[in-house]
Amino acid sequence: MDQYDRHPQAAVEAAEWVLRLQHQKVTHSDRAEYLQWLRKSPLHVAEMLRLSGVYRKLADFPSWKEIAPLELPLEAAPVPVHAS
Amino acid sequence: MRTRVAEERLTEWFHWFRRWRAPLRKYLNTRWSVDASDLDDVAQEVFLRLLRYNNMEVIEHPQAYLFKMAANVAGEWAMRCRHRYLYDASWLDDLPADSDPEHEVAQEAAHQQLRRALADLPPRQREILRLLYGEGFTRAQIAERLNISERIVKRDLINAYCTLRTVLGDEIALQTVVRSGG
Repeated sequence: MDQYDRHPQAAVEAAEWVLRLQHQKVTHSDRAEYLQWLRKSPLHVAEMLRLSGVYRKLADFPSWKEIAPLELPLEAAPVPVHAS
Repeated sequence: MRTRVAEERLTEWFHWFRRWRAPLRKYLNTRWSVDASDLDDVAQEVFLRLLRYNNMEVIEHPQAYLFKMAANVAGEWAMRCRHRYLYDASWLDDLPADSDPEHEVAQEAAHQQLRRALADLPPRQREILRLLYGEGFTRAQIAERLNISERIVKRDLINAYCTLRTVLGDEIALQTVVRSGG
């Protein structure tokens, strides 16, 4: 999990759930597992609520057209990393 | 090309939180005078208690459970705090009234805040969000477009969500300022 280490574990897990639930096929056992995860800790519920606020803002954002697309090099790109 | 694919693919479980979060907070704030700084705590308690219920039924009839539970929790909360107002059930009528000017001002402020937050994200994370929410790409399509693996798309998304979760965290404070200024 070191790839997410700057963020709290519960936040990462909530984000993983968002991705998982957005995926095409969500099975009954996925849902059961999700519910189990939510019940495990109040923190999980808090993080999911918080993230649902973020999701809502992204989904309702009216100005995506104003966000400049990333310019892609023609060939396979070395991943642009924050160069500061 | 699919449109609003992220929106459409939400299952009721996640959708449920998303859908009811705002009305619940509004209800708690306007009807129960729950302080803005306490809103998240109270809302969290409401959702927590709901999760202990028969969950399928709650998901199918959220409003009936949600606001009943909210009234209970807010009532208890009010007893602990100094607010002791009790309200009748007429609040149900004005819940969906989301189109008031204050709301619009707050919404514009929220858009501005999101614009700034997006500008501060690493470029690839921003691009992935743009493709997902702005263009309706799937994660697989994004991976192909950016010539990266789906795994990286997923990781970037998670990092972006986690960052935005922190950056957009002062939403409540902001909306409170807007509201009290009116």
